[in-house]
Amino acid sequence: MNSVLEVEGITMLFRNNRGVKDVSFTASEGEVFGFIGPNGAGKTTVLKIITGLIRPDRGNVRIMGHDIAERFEEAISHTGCIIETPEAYEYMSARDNLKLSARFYRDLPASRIDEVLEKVGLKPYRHERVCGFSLGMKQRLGLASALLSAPRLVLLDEPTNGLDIEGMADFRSTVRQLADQGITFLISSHLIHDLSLIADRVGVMREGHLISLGTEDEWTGAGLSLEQYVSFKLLESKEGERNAQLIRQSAE
Amino acid sequence: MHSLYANLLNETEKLWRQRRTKGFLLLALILPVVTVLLSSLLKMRAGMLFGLEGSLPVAMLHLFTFAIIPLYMAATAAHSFSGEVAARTMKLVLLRPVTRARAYASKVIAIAVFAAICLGVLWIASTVSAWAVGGPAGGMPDSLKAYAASFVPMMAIGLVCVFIAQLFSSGTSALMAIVLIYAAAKALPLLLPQWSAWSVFSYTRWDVLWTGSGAPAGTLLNTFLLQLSYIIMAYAAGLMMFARKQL
Repeated sequence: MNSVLEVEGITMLFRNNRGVKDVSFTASEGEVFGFIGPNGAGKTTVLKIITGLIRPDRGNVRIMGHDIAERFEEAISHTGCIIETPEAYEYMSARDNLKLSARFYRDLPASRIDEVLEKVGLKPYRHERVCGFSLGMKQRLGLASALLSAPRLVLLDEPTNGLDIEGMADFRSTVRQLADQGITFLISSHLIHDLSLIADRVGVMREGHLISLGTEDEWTGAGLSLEQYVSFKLLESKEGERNAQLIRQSAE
Repeated sequence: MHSLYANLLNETEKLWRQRRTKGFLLLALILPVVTVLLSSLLKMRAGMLFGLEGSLPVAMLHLFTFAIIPLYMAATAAHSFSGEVAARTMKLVLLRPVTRARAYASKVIAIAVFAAICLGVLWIASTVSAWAVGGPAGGMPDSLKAYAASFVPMMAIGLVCVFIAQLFSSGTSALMAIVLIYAAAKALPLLLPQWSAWSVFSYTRWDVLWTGSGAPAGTLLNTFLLQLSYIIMAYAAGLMMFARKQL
């Protein structure tokens, strides 16, 4: 399968020495790639680097073969995203917010705005100002905004935050349906159950390192749930670190 | 170039939807009318004659370029840059296919567009108001020249506002800082007159060089080049900060 996203050795350290260190992975066409890890593991930082919001100290990101640092417009035109929280201009309606975003895409049909609003269940509220929306409605609008340009790659950071049970189920079915049409998803979440239902592959992050990349077959084949698999990988990484420390100490 | 045009439309629409923009444009429309009405009323009631009608467009221009347009630009720069970063809506632009250089350019052009519209509305309102009470005046080409010339210092001040706004993490603190800096810069010539020639804020009345018999071409060129250099420096410094911003 074709690689839609290629991340090569990205490293970015903040002043507090936290960040991400030498993260590399690829995501293929139609794949749902789950990104999982404890708070502060660096998941959002990776997403921000992929979308050019922050610049890495080292490493490259290519989307559909376009380097994000050198050919930003081409790379990001294939991408839709929600990073951190879904934001919108609160003084505008849902439809007007999407209208602003739609202007960037020359070939987007005018009907696309209503199409995505219908897909996320916001069509009845399209003329209401966003300031009156609940968190769940803002999340749905964020998803509509991410899907607006019919992107080949969709990056979603904690996309089910604020969604009710029905919203979560709708979200999962939308993701699976679009993935079957060839759209690649990179979903960062701490909700393991959600990811276990939709992800084809997961990357486990801990303290800025991508400690494991595993396919669904790997955890189901080992008779583990995704939660057990992730817990095992985190424990393995901590143990490995402790052992390495002991070896260093004994060597000294 | 499509992304520049698209974001320019977006930025212009965002500014237009703000009450601040409509309020400033309304002020530019109403203030000359109110001034002329009050002046006429005093003339009728008390026989006082201010003789304002003939010079109204230029008097209004000086009022607006001294305080009102710089205040609008400061508020708009604070909102469009630090305000959007604080509200996290800056991401809505930067996650779309538009480079930072083009996003920055479109934001600056949108502010310039509304400054130009404000000057245009003010010129029309003050010229029509002056005509209404005093009949056609002969100074129209002069006042038109003065308004066109005023756009240059307004742009220089606007770009300095954009640069300062990016040093702050919230729109309110950015606005307060710009207002304080502007007030201090306006007071500076009183204490250090020799420094005023180098201050970008000292040229809000340079339109007087263009009216009447006008200043020598060399003086006009020198002053224009000084302001142009401020425009270029402020634009480049602002762009550098915008391009390096980690969100």
